[in-house]
Amino acid sequence: MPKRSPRSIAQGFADHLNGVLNSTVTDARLSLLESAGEARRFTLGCLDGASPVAFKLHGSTARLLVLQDLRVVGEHCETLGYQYRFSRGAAKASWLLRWEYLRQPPDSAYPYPLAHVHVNGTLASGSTALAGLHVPTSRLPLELVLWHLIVEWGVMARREDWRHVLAESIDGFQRKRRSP
Amino acid sequence: MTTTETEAGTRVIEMSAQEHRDFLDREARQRLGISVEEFEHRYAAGELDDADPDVPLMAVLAGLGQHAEAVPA
Repeated sequence: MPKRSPRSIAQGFADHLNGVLNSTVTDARLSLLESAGEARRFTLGCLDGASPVAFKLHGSTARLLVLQDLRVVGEHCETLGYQYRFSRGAAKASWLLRWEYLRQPPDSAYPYPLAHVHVNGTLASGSTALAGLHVPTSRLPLELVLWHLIVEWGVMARREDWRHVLAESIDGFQRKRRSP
Repeated sequence: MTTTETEAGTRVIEMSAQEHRDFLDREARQRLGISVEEFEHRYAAGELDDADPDVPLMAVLAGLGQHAEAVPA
């Protein structure tokens, strides 16, 4: 069997995620951006031209911005970083939750967990703003974020078998994570 | 810059190294009002507040999850 090119592997991953998104929460499509100067590295997101934008969620006025930085290693895509930004609407200030990850710290003094979530809120008991806190998480598959949005934020699933679609895709994520 | 599509309909944008650098610079200026060079240096120095959602977005877009340490001081 001929070896697939890094571009073909990244395209296969993008096609898969588009299938998951279009079966569950949106009819928007992610695009792949490749720079000739960086072999094996790809940016994946909903792009207006090439600029990342949030897409509309089915049955809701809320939006989700998806941005992933990928590197092809062997036959799979390794995640170098992501931002999943859930917002009430189109305005930048309307964000509610942001799941973020960087594989490597930006500098040796970086004090925060590399995978974390930000919450745009304030403690009811005081004026402490939560938006700047980096609440630790593990590195999350996008599918878990979609699951959360359907179950707890009123986003309408596009298919009745959305649980199966997401669970199957999450299983693939976990298998790749366990592989050497 | 060239744009193609996979058989499944995923759009693929290919940029030269210079086009990509220019694109990152436009994004940094539009989102944060600074050049991409300034963004990389200030981000690596911990000078940018990532309560602004476009700060970590630019870090992902600029690929700082893999080579931030390579940014010259």
